[in-house]
Amino acid sequence: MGHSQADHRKTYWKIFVWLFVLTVLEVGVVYIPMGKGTLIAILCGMAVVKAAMVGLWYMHLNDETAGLKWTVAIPMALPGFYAAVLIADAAWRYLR
Amino acid sequence: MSAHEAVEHHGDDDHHHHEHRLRPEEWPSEPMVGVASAGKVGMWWFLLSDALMFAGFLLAYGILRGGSEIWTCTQELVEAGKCLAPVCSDFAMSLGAQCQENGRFLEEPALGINFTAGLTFLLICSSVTMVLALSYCKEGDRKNTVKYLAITTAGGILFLCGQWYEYFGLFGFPGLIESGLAFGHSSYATTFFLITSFHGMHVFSGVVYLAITTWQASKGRFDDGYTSEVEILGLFWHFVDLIWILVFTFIYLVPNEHGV
Repeated sequence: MGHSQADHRKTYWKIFVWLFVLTVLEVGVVYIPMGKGTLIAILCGMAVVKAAMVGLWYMHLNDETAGLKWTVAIPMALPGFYAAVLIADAAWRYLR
Repeated sequence: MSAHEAVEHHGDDDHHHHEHRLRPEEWPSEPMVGVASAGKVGMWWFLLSDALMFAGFLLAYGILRGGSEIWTCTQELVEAGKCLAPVCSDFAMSLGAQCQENGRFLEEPALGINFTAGLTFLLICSSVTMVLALSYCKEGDRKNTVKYLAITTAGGILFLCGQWYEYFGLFGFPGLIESGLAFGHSSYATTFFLITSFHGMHVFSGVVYLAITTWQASKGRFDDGYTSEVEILGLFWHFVDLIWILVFTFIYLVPNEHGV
């Protein structure tokens, strides 16, 4: 049974609260003393969660077919893969 | 006429194109994309190509930043002779820049995290109002559709004003250009202006797109359930928000060697 638009609107507001809380945490965590690598990992993790929330609920990818979801997810994941390769390369040069 | 027939006969009588606008539930189902309309799939394709362009910029930024020994030329580094502060341009001086006797700035300024966090919050607010506009549009509620589309448009305009303030300053408060961030002086400055202005152009396009759709909604274009156009606009606007979430993290929040 499908949800009413009123139900959807409640979900949208819940996502909004999560996005707000994560933004506050992102700004707050920058001022906490910790290793640069740890901080960058935390920041990237929170950014990816926020971006996924926008994509899944506000852009309604959650409601799309598996075909459309994968068509979007694979190209979106590629830059992340390239970034991981670059980070691994930089780490290798730094550590050797 | 069934939905399939409507699509097949579309080319025969284009002059009656309004009769062939399909409600979301009427669009013929297809195994790959379900009932997503051609316009919606087209917007997704465009957004993917746009996302890869942003990804190229952000990866280039990451490579430049990761490979640089000095990212931001602070006063401490200038005094230690490790880097040169930017040259005071005529444009910066026309904005009111205070230059040193040697015709240079004191240092490169840091980016304002708290102010930009406010801009991020603004875009998040405009994203929720956009999705609420679509929700009310699906209910045929013209008044709330127009209201939330108008609020979303206002959010976009405010974001652009914020970006203007950040670049050029406003009401006597100095912007980054006036404070010594000079395009072309360093990878820090150039990547900042390139990426944030490219995003800003998307916000500007989105504001124009939103304003047109708000006007159309106020004239009742979507009253009869043809909500695809509002949904497609929403995809574009949420994408602008999504990209900003990443830009905010990578450009503003990731610390440099000399603190945030």
